[in-house]
Amino acid sequence: MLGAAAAACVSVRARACRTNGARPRWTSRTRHQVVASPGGSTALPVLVATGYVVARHSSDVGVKTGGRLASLKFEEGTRVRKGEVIAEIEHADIDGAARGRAPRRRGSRSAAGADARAARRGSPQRGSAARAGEGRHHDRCRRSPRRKSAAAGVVGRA
Amino acid sequence: MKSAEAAIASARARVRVTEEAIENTNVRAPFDGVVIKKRAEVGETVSPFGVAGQASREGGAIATIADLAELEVQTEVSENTVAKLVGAMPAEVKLQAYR
Repeated sequence: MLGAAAAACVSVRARACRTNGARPRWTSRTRHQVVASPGGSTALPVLVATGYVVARHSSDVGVKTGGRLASLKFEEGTRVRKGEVIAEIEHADIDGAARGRAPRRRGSRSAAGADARAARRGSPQRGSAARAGEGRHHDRCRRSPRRKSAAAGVVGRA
Repeated sequence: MKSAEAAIASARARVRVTEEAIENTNVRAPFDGVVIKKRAEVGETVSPFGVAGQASREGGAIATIADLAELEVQTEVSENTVAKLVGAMPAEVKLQAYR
């Protein structure tokens, strides 16, 4: 860490006094501003000390989910921007699970969408709405091309 | 029709959940700054609550980021002088390294 010496300074008024060659005048009006007048024999700084220069805002950045670190995109000293991805955790498992669900999701969305559109047009769409149970859901999506054409048929009929 | 719309809403919610789960595997910088401490390496297992052996304060942190645009000086003040200090006093800071 950087060592820093903090020394008291002078206010504008005290500085003006010094340039005039007069001793700084301490009045109650300016007392809160005037700390000291360095240079004069009686004008010692109020405080001389060593300390640390530190960042006002610093944070230990953690992870939101547990896992193995797949990549780290920084070293000590790297500048980062707000919102920038600085590290990634392995997520092949989530990708795999999502991929496993994807065809089903797409199928059920299009079928459900067709059902909803058909229903909005006032067609008597009882059948497929009744088939929306979770177990049947899966079957239906596997047969999604047929389901789609059936739904399209219903739309056409309406 | 309600059931079909519910199915769409449910599917959309599942998409959001998956997207959020994937987003949670990204660690993003909370503000502009500089990495001042690297606390993990590639291949290490991390958790939001830290791992055994890690200081509890670090609690799963992988990096310490500081905003060096705003600095402050921390110094100790003796009892003799603390009463003489008031807010907004001007002060001069000298850095040994930048003379």
